[in-house]
Amino acid sequence: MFLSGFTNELINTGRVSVAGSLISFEEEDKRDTVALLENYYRQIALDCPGTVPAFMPDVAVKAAAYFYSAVQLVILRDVKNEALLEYLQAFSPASPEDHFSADLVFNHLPALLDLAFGLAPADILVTQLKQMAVQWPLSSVGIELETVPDDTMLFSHPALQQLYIDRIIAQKDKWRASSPHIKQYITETTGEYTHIFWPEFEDLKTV
Amino acid sequence: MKEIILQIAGKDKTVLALVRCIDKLMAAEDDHSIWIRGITDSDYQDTALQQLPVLHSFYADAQGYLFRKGQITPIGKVPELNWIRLNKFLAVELPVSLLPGTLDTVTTIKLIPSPRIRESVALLTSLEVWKQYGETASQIRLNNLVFAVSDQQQVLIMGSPLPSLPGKEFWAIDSLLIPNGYEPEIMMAVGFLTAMHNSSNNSYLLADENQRWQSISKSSFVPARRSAIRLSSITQP
Repeated sequence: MFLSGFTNELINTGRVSVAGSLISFEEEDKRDTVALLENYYRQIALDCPGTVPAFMPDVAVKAAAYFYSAVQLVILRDVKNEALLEYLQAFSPASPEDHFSADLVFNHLPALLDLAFGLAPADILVTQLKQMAVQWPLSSVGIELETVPDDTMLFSHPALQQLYIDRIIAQKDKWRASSPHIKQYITETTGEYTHIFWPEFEDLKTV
Repeated sequence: MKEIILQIAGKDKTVLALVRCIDKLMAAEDDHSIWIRGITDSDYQDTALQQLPVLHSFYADAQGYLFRKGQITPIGKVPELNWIRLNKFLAVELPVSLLPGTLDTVTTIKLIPSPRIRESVALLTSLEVWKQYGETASQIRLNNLVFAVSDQQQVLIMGSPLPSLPGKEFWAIDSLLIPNGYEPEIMMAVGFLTAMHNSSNNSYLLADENQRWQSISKSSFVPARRSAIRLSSITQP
C-alpha cells in the first residue's frame, strides 16, 4: 500500500515517506488511491468556484504514481538518467477533467520542483519536472518556466478559469500575469481593488 | 543613571493621590510601608513628589542596590515586591449616590437621515443572493470576508471590500452597525448604548431605521469559504 499511504499523507499532512528503491504499484494499491483521491476531490470541489470538471480516476492515480516516483528520484540520487526517463513517464492532459483530477496531487509540483532544484539545479529530474509543469499549467502556478504553457483548456472551463486566475493572484505569479490574456482576467477579477489584492500588479498593468 | 526610590508609611497611602498622574511611577506595598520607584533626579523637582511624607529616600543603581544620598556604600537591595503602575495601585473609585437619581425625561436614541455616506463595513443581504455570489466569486474577494446567517435567511457580511450585492450597507461606530445614510441623532449616546448592551465587546449591535436593534455575537461569524457558504442553510421547523 505504498501509493495509497503516500497519497493519504500528501493530502492530509503534506509530509510523505517513500520506499527506498524504485517500485511499481499493485492494482489494489491503485484502487485504494483512487478511492482516497475521489473523496478528496469531493471535499476540494466544495471550495472551488462553480461546477468543477468530473473526476477522472485514471488520470488522478497516474498523477499520484508519477508524483510518488518523482519524490523517490529526488531522494535516490544514484539512479541513472536512462532509468529515470524510463521510470518517470510524463503524460499530458486531454481535457479540463484531466487538469482538475491530476491537480489533486500535482498542486504540490511547485514545492517538489523547488526542492529538486535546490539539490541539483542542472539535474535531468529538474528538466523533467519543468516539462511536466509546462504540460499542467493549473498545477504549476508559481513556477517560472522557459516555455509559456498552453492554458487554452483551462479557459474553456469557467470553474478552471476562475481557479487558475485565483491561484495566479494568490501566488502573485508575475511571470504568468504578464501574458496579455491573463492580465485581462486578473484585472476583471480584482476590479477597482487591485491595490488591495495585489498592489504590485498595478505596475504590470501599465507594461 | 540612578533611580530615586521613596518609602512612605502604609497609613499615608491616600497621599499618593497627589502624584497618581505621573505616568511612569511604580508602587509596591510591604507589611508596613509603600515603596515608590521610577523617579529621576529631574522628576524629583516636582513639588507634588516633594510634598510626600517620605520616611526614607534612596538611590538605586542598575543592579538594584540601594544607597543613601551622597553615600557610596549600599545599604540594601530594592525589595522584591509586586511592582505595579501607580495609577493601577491607586485605582479610582467613582462616588456612589446617597439616594438613587430620578430621570425627569427619557431620551430615545434615534437614527436620523444623514446626507453623509460613510465607508460601509457590513452588508445585510439574503442567503439566496449570498449563495449565488459564493458560487462564482473570486477566492481573493471571499478571503477578506466573514459572514453570519440569521434564521430569517438573512446574511450579514463583514469585511473589506464588501461585495457589490443588493442589500443594506452599514457603517460602524465601535460595535454599533448603523445603516448607511443614517446617523445617531445624539452621537455621544452611542457610547452609552454599547457600554450598556455590549460591555464585553463580544457582539455587534445591528441597528435599523425604525429604532430597533439586535445583538449579533461575534462568534456567529465564520470566514467566507466557498464551502461554508454552500453548506449554509436554514432548517425550517
